[in-house]
Amino acid sequence: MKISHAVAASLGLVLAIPRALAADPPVDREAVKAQVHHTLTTEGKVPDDAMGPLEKGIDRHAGDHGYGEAISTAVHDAHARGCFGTCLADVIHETNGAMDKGASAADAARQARPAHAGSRDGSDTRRDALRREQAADRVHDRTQDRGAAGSHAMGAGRH
Amino acid sequence: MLAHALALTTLTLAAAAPRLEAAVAVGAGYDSNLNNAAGPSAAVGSGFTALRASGGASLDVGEATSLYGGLRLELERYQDVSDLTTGRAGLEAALVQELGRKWSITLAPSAAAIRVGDSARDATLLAAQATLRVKPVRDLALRAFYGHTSRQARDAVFSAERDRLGGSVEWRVSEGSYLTLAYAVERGDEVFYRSTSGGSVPMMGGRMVSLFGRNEEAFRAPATSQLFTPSLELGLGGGVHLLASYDLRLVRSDVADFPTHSVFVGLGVRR
Repeated sequence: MKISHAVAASLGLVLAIPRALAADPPVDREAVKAQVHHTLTTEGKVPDDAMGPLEKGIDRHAGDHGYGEAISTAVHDAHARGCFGTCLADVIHETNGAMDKGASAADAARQARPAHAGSRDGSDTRRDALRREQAADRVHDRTQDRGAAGSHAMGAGRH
Repeated sequence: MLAHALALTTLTLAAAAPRLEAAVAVGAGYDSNLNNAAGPSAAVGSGFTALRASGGASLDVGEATSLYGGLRLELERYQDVSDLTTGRAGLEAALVQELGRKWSITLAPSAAAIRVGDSARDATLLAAQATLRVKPVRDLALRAFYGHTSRQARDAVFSAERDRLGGSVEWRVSEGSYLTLAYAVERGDEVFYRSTSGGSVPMMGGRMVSLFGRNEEAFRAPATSQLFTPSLELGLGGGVHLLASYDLRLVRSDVADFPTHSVFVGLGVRR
């Protein structure tokens, strides 16, 4: 009897070890939460009043596998379009919302991403317009700050 | 843990992606007093056409810091005074530090090579500007700036050291449209022209020129100028905008006190 128990236990151990090794490592939920929060508020310039409504969603999904990558995708995509602040907050809100409805983190990031022609609804179009507007404002501001004025005397035209 | 580390790394790299910026503007204008003459009867004006282009990349290097580096090309052709036709090619950089959500400070050094119709005016230009910007509300930007320009020309008469201190109020009228009023006071070298009464020998240590239809001596003297510049950038969609500006310069110096006026209208695209 003891032998059969020992054999069963050994077999269980042998079967369990590879499964344990193959499984995704546990997500450090608190670390992901903190990193997402830090990135959104600093790099993404999401203001405090826009972070508030996001906190619950971040808290809900920080432990989900792939959430960190999903947020990084969303940040990357928004960043490339000059989308910061409340614009980026909208993107994260949509990512969380899609995950609430059962989408995987990767799918949610794809859905929240500004899509291209053919798959837009009205809110997407408005959001894209807002992003473009913010990006254009940003480039305008930076151009003016460098002193590249468009006038003749203020700019480089005068001898 | 590996997935977590990968996610954090990806987040960091995502934030460091450079953004490309480019702008082109073409237009035409008129400058009322190219020879810095004291009286309107002696002033020589000319229309000009201009092409201005710039392109570069902006990179976030910290939580609130970004760097810009790029090229700038400018061409100005004066229909009536071809010796002043100017081409300029240069490098520009900028360090932008956000100070909270409303304030920012920008340090922008630049260098350029200048080629002019009159080759004695060919020059190298070194300049730097510091700009403090505050946006109390989204549609209003207030700027204060200080800049120094050092122009080393082939003939020292056309070299100049200039300091400029000023500010501007910019109102974002609507998407892509801005109305700006800028003011600056500039202290530095200006080029003036003096009749040599038919002679061909410079009397002021200057250079003999015949740019304006008569033999004159060009010479350099310090001057203080005040510049008032209202300008309008009217967004037409898709990054295209109409530019219009007017410049009033009030120049004071030991040589002469005089105003100059210039206008510029153009079409630009910025991405």
